This record gives sequence, structure tokens and C-alpha cells, in this order.
Amino acid sequence: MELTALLEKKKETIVNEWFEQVIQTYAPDTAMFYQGQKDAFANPVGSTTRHALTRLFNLLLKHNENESPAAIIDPLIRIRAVQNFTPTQAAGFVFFLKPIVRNLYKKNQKKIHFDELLALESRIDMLALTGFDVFMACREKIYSMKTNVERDKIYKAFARAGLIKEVPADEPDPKFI
Amino acid sequence: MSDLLKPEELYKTDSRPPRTDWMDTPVEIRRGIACYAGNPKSLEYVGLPNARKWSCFDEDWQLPENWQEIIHEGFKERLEKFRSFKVFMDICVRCGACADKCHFFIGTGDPKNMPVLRAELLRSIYRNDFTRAGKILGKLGGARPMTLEVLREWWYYMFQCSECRRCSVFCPYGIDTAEITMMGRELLNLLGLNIDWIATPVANCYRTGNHLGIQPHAFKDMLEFFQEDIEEITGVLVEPQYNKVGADILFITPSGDVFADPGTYTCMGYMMLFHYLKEKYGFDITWSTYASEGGNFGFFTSHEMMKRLNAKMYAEAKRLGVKWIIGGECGHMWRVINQYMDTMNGPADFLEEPVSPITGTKFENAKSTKMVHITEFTADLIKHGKLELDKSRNDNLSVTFHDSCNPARGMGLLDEPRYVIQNVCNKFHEMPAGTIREQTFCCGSGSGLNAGEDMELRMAGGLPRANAVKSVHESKGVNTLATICAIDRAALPDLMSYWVPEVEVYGVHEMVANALILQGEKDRDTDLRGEPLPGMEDSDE
Repeated sequence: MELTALLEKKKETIVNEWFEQVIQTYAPDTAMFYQGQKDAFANPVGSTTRHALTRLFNLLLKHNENESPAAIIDPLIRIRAVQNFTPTQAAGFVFFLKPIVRNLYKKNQKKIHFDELLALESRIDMLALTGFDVFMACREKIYSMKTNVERDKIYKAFARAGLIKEVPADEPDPKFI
Repeated sequence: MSDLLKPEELYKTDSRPPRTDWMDTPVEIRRGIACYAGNPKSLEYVGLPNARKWSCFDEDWQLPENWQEIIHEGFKERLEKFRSFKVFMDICVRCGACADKCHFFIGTGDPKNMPVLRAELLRSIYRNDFTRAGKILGKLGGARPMTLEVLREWWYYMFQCSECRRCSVFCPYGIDTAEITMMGRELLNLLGLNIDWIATPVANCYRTGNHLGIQPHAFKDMLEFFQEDIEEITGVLVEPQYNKVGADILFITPSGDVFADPGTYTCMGYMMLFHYLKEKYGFDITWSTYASEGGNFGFFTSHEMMKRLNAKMYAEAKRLGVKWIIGGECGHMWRVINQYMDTMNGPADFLEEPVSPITGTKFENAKSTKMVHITEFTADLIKHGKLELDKSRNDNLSVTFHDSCNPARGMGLLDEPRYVIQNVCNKFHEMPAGTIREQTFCCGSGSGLNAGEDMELRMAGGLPRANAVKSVHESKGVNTLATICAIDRAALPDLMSYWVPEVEVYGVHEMVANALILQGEKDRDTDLRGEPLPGMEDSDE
């Protein structure tokens, strides 16, 4: 359990480093703002990112195992899914944690327990896949909204041209008679 | 297939963006952010130049040969004509107070969406072309020559500003960055660089009187359809008046209220309120099937176009011989009326200074424009006890209020809508300070950006607003986002469905009508949406 104990002890340092690296995926001026502004309503991206990463790390430490990983990662992925990112960049931040943990482990332990490290990394892999599921759900939502806009436009154009005859709610649909 | 990335591109895993200076960072026009180009037929209809089929994703934008000269001359003309534009170009000290106040910057994270930097896109050319320092110092002095690359950048970012003016609230020099965007868009329009979500509504509005190009008979058909719905729900037949010469008051609302859910329920609300006032107090108000649009997308095109479209409303008021005008729940219509109408088409001295025929209240704020916001009118009715209301009919709604940018920052309409809501609903919760009133966050879709193809931009830009809604949804159980703008009513349902799907969007007068007790009404069991009223959930039809 040495790795878990180390992660518990260094939790704040790890999450800060993780946050720092995620924020550096933005342009320098933007990163400075996302990092510096502490008001959650003036800076929803920075505050959501920090909050989500903290909860995700707790999840990896098995503190909140009864919570759904998808629900925890959702707010962060939901933001990155509409920003200027490729899918790799939007969802790949989960992997940033691996080198952070490895370096910390190497620095603090003489002997590396690979079984523990690999178990943690497998959990990180699963979390990344969950993140990708959420990313896809967000993208599908965006596509369906775009489709609805177009469908609505066509429907309204037809309706204005008098080409739509709705079946009144209290009458049966003729095709079923 | 050409959009697919090559294997070596996919393999690039560096997630850090370029560290170059903004002038050296080339613009990348992205799908999901940019809007489709204006339909050439629409441009031709209103005489906008360089009408042709083009796309921002094309290599060749089919510009006139002397496009640089056109921009230079257009810039010069506007600097001479608009003192404010010249001042805004000169006085910015780049203090950065506005930088982090823009919802598009906060949400997209794109530094060129910082208002100061968006304005620098224009200022850099201003310095180069019109200032000695810029001519001598060049790039060192923040100047650069106009190139195709700069033009592409202008187009991309001028249509990533919703002209909401939140940044201007924080500017110590009072620079109205929205006006810089307006000038930027005007200059782009000189080259035929527009977006269809603006150009086509402009042409439609000029031709038929509203954004969708609805002809008078179809406009009337829609209101008749609402009459049937209202009769079914309340048992009362409301009868709106159309184009009535000699009516006391003309009513003008955005056509979105007539044709797009959930604005249609707000429209039914107006109809019920006017019927109530007619029956009880002899209130005489008419709709116009010609001035059938409160919105003014000319505002997002050029000052000339804004003037042309605004003039129609006053021409109709003159034709009908009304005393004054009531305007519906609209956003940018009120900025046009309050800040520009008087010097464009005013003074409207053929109209009377608005006085409520029911309460006798003089609407001092509308003394010059002769046009009163309906929430101000209704708030006054409530204040004088002129409406019979049953608030409990809205008890299934736990409401928060989104201050629409233009009524809030463009005319200071902050308390009237809240007063109305709190008199027709029992449950009301404010969103956090810093996200409401003068500092309200935009819906992310204003100023003609409420298209479908730029959905990513709209969702990112709307994030600060949605984030505040989410907080009151989670902490107070808010399920209703009330607003007084037709673009909000069209845009916020999408925004909510992405960020806070449990919250629905309502117009204020929809809630007024739910609570309003009409003379001779039947026992109502549903609200205007046909949903059961509180306590009626289990009742049969």
C-alpha cells in the first residue's frame, strides 16, 4: 500500500500539478486567467477544471467509489468538447496524471511496486475511456442540436407554405384506420 | 474525406497551443464557430455590395480588386462621421479591465475574444493607416498593414462578439467595444462579408416586415391559431385588433414571439393581457401585420440598415395615427430604440408622450422615443392594482431571471421585470451577483449569432450564463429561466439542454397570463403550454 499512502500524502501537490498541466493546454493569456481568477462565476472553466480534477483524483484513490466516474468527469469534458480542441486534446488530459505519479514515485521511493503502479494506471486508462464516452455523448448532443435547427427550419418553411396538415390530437391517424 | 486528419497529424500529441504573439498567430477559421455566408439574393435585395456565393472556408473570398482601398476609405469615412469611433480607437490604454469580462473569451478560451484584443484587430490597422506613430513605428507601435490574413481574422472575430456590452461596464474609459464590433461589421459589409443569419432576416424584414418573411395573412393566421389555443385553455375568446387606424396604441413585438416556441406562449400572454384590459378598461391597442417585427438585424449590419428597418415601425405608427407604441419582450430592439432611434429617425413628434390610459402614469423614460417596454407597462398596472392575479397557478415554477443584455445595459430595465415576476410567481431566486443586472452574462447567441452551424461557439459563449443557472438549479431547485428577449427565448432552450437540461425557458408575460384571471374564464386546469396546473396533475381532461 506504499503507493496509495504516498498519493494520499501528496494529494494536493499532485492535483495542483495536474491542474497546471491541463490549464497549459490553453493559450498563455487564457491559462493565466483560468488559473488566477478564483470566483467560480467569473471563471467557470478554471473552477470546474480544478473541482473535477480533485474529485477524479479522489475517485482514483477510491474515496468516492459510489459516485459515477462519468458524472464526475462530465462537467469538465462538456466544456472541453465545445472548445478549440481535437478529441485527443479534449479528453486526453487524464493521461497527464501518469507521468506526474511516476515521477513522484521515483523521487520518493527506492523500490517501485509495479503491481500497485500498474493497477493505478489501469484505473487511469479506464477513466480516460469513460472521458471519451462522455466526450462522444457531448459531441452527439451538439450534432443533434444542429440537426434539430435544420429540421425545424425545413418544417417551418413547409408549414408557412401550407404544405403540412397535422392530424388533430383527438382524431386517429388515418394510416392506422 | 478531405477533412480527415492524416496519420502523422493524428499522432501529434502536443496539447500546448502556440506561444507566439497574437499578431504572429495565424487565424484558423473553424467549423462550429463560423457562420455561413449571406445568401447573395438577400444582399442584392437590400443593395448590399459584392453579392455572390462564397464560403469562409474557401481559399478565394471573391473580393473586389480594390478591397484594401474600400476598407481604408470606409474606415476614414467612419472616423470622420462618428466621433465616438475615433475616440475609442485612440484612448484605450490596454489596461485589460475588459479582457476577462467577455463570455466568449471566458467560454472559448480564445485570447482574440478578449474585448481589448478583438478591438486591437481594428486598432492595429487604424494605427497603420491613420496615425503618425503607427506609420513610423510599425509593428513596434502596435500597427500592421491590412492583408487578406487580417481581413479573415476580422471576419472571424467580429462574428464572435454578440455586442452585449458587458466589457464596456468595466472599461474605465467608457469604451463601448460593441460599437467597435459594429464598425468592424460595417466595414466587412462593404466587401459583401456578412453571415446569412443576419443578411436574410434583414432582407425579409425590409420586404415583408419581419425576419422570417411572413406575409400579413400568415401573421394573422398564427395569432388566430393562438386564439383557438387560448379559448381551449381558458374558455375565453380573445380578439386582437389588426392594423386599426385610429387605435390608441400600436403594439410591436419580435416575430420570434409569433413563430418560435417558447416565445409563442409569451405571445399568447400579450393577447390575454390586452383582452383583459380591453374588457375591463376599454384599452384600445392594435397589432400591425406590416410593422410585424420588433427586432432589427440592421443593427448588426450597418447604421444605414438599422435606420431603414427602424423607420418602418414609426412609419406604421404614423400611418395608423396611434398615440404611442408599446414594444414587446425584445432585446436589441430596445437598444436601437433607446440609444439610436432619436438621432436616426427621431424625434417622433407626431406621437404623444406615453401616458397609461389605465393608471395615468407618464412613462418619462419614453418621453422622446414614444415607445414603452411592456414589462414597464405591466409593472405599472400591477403597482396600481389593476390586474387580478392568481400567483399559485405558477407554483410549479421555481423561477430565476436572466437580464437580457440590451434591456439591462442598453436601457436600465432591471427592476420592472423582477417586480412583475414576483407578483405573478411565488418562487423566485436570483442568480449570483456578478452574473445579473448590469453585469449580466449574455446568452451567447445575440447579434445574429443564433444560427445552427456555430453551435460550439454558442454553447461555449453561453457557459458563464449556464453556469450561474446551474448553481441556482442545484442550490434552490430552480426549474425556470425567465427572460424578456426573443433571441433569449430561441437561444436559451438549446443552451439549457446542453448545460442544465432540467431548466425550461419562459417569457415573463407567459407567466403573467398563467396568473391572470380573465373575466368569464372556465376553471383552468392547464397552463399555456397545456401542462397541468399545480394540484391538477391527476385530474382528467
